[in-house]
Amino acid sequence: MSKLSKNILKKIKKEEIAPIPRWHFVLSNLGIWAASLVLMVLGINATMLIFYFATNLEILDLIIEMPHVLPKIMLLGLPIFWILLMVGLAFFAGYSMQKTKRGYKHSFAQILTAVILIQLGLGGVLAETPLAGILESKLQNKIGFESLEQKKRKIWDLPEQGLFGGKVISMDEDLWRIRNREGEVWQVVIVEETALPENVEFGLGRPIRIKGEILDKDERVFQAREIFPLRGRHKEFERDFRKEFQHLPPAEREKIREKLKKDGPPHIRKFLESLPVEKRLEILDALKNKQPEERRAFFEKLRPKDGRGRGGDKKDERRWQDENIENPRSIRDN
Amino acid sequence: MPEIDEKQLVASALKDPQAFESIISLYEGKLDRFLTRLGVLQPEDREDLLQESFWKIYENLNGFDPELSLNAWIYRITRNTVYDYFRKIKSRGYKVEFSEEESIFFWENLMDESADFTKEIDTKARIKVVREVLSNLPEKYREVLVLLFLEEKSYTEISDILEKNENTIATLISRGKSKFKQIFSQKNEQDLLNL
Repeated sequence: MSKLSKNILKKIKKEEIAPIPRWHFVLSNLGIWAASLVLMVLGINATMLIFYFATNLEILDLIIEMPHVLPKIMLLGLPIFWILLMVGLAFFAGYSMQKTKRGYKHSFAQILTAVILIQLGLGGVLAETPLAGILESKLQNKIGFESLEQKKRKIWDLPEQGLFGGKVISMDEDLWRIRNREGEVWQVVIVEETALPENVEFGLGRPIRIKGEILDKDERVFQAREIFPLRGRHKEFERDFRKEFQHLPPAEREKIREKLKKDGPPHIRKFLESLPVEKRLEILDALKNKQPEERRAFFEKLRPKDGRGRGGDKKDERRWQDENIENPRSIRDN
Repeated sequence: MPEIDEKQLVASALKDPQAFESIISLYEGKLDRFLTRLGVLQPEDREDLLQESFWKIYENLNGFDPELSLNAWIYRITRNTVYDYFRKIKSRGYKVEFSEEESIFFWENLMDESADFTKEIDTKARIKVVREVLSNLPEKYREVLVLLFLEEKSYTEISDILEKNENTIATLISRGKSKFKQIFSQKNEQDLLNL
């Protein structure tokens, strides 16, 4: 036995040095993996929101159709914070994975590429599920979070770029009056070439988007090339509409009551709008002969199952009471 | 060494500290030489570092990954112990030196892979140049060249010892060789002119 061996064994015996237990190594490796996974999951969530924003804001379609809006759209529509967060989380996840037991066997670039591909793949798939909408609504009203609705309103408030949005306050055959989110009333000229989607009824109070061009900025005149409903949740416009409802002249209020009676709440309207006119009339006629309970059961089935509408009725009810606003549903029921 | 022996060695040492002696005796000489090649010239320093390395090896026996070779794992711990030591004594400045014998061995191994140099290293002057160039190479290149040409480790083993992926090791080796040849050519010309 060499002198070195003797010294080492003597010290081991004297100081009762024992090997570190196996669980210590297992736990430390598991800890690093867990940290990597948490970072990955957060990154997937960030990516999911990026896809969700991009698809719901139709950023790609707008850029292809109107390339001149690219800089503005990038500025207003791209969720810069989430993109930076996604990249940052990918970096940290990659770094953490390289610190695992065999992480060194792959280069950082390889690991980072794999992490980003996983984030893009899973984030892209999840963006198509209700999860994205749920996360977006959970994050609403949180400091620094700009919701889809806010972004949408910003994008569709660029009349000089040919993008305009607001709610219909009056409708003549070739001239609609639209109130934008700043409360400005614009005259929208409808020409023969103006494209309107089939099977969509545009009515008073309806939030809409318009593609076209500005004719007179000072007089606030805009010529419509295409008109669409403002898809998705348009709570902001609906809330504004409810507030304004109280101040409308009685005749106008009666007109709207009739309209609401006819179409029902948004999810029913949405469903009815998605049907061809004949089918819609057929359903409405059939429902007329049903008992109120049966009608309610039918409409209940149409309520969105993605969580967006969950609890909405009660929340709305409370808000209307707080704000002393007339409940449109009671208007309908009357 | 076959894999089963390595596992048995570790398992025996975990059961009985006295069995750790077989690991020490197997690696003592190799690691002593490795320490010299890493630049630990004083025998007392080497002895202290060897002791420290073996304690760490013993303490971490449960962390040995059977997927790795025991050899690479032991070299990794020793190398890390030495670099911790270098960081501590950085202010004192340490000097790496290679023996004549090692320089010739390094040169011959390097030349086996290179067609652009003559293999003969018969003059004292040439040996001196090789020693100087090797000693003064940047650390990151010297380390991989020492492991490849003096310790005769494979790329996989070097990758496991340094905890860097094999592509990075290949790049470091390739750049290290180029750097060595470049400095060697310059020095060699200078020395020939001075003769």
